[in-house]
Amino acid sequence: MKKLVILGAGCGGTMMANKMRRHLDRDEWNITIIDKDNIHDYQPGYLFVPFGINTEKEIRKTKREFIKPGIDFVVSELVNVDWDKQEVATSTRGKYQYDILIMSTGCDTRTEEVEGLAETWGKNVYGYYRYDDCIGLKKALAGFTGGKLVINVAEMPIKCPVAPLEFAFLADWHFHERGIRDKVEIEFVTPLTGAFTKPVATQVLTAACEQKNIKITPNFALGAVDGERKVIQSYDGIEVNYDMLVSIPPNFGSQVMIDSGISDPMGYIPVDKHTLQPKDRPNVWVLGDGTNVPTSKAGAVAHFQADILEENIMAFINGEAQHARSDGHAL
Amino acid sequence: MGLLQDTEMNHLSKLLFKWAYYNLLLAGTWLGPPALQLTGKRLDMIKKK
Repeated sequence: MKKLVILGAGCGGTMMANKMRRHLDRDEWNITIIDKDNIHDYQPGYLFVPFGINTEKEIRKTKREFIKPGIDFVVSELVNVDWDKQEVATSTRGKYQYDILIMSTGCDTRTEEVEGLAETWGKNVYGYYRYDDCIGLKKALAGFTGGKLVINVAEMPIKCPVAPLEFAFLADWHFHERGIRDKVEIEFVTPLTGAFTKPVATQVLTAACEQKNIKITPNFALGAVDGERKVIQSYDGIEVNYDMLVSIPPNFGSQVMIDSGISDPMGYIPVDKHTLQPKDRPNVWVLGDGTNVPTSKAGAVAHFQADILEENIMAFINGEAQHARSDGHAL
Repeated sequence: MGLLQDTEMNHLSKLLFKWAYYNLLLAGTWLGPPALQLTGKRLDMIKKK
């Protein structure tokens, strides 16, 4: 029996498992998908939880319910990936050999990467990139009756780059609804040169911010957070004060990839941006937020990458030339 | 409902996307060619720059 192992049962991994199960004969191929837990969060819904628009029931489900029959789902922490031995190790379920490996382990926020950020988290600094953080932010927003709300992106790349601006617009709506918009100042502080990464979108979104009275402070590379003084500081000495800070901490790939020696220092796995394969690893593919590909970290990108992988992996199995190429687009 | 007053289409799109995510995307359904689509892109704005 040949073995296809998939790391990560989030958006990318689940899509790939379900796609490949349709193609591969169950008598010939065993498919195993490994993840540290059985919680599948609809991440686009995170943004709306702090405003009471989305509830836990709507965005939090189990991973198992989206994984089709005929796929082994293993819940255990991944502890090592060894491309030479073609083997992955888990904390509680032992080791798994593979003939083909698909990696989709994503990325996550790290507050400890910014001086003062972890210490102030949950006090006057909040976030929405994890479900528990969304709940904390919801409580904080409910108790916020006026002052300066700062939304800050620490550094790029981040998951869903437009989400911080969406948050600013939702905050504008939220305070309007509560009748306190005139008591709240909203400032969007970003390391980008403008509101967004792309010039056409920046032009449109800058105008929208002006219309909504949201100040944009560009070119701000976050160096430290001073929770006592309620100030964020840039590396070049600029300070922005806040009453409530909504922070998007630096995003990192999986620590296991760093520990396994197969990623860059930020945990992102280097791959060919068109084939999505690591160099000299013909039976390994990587998709989603965990690659170093210069495209948006978003489920939509993973979706289109999955189509490329599906075609090329089947070509690989059948001994044919692999023609599909990813262009990195999201929509 | 205040959110819907001037962003109804946006809101409905988000609801539709959530349904598609759970029922089509995660299932690995093929939704169209993975190559870049130019439909709806404001190429005229890019050319001006």
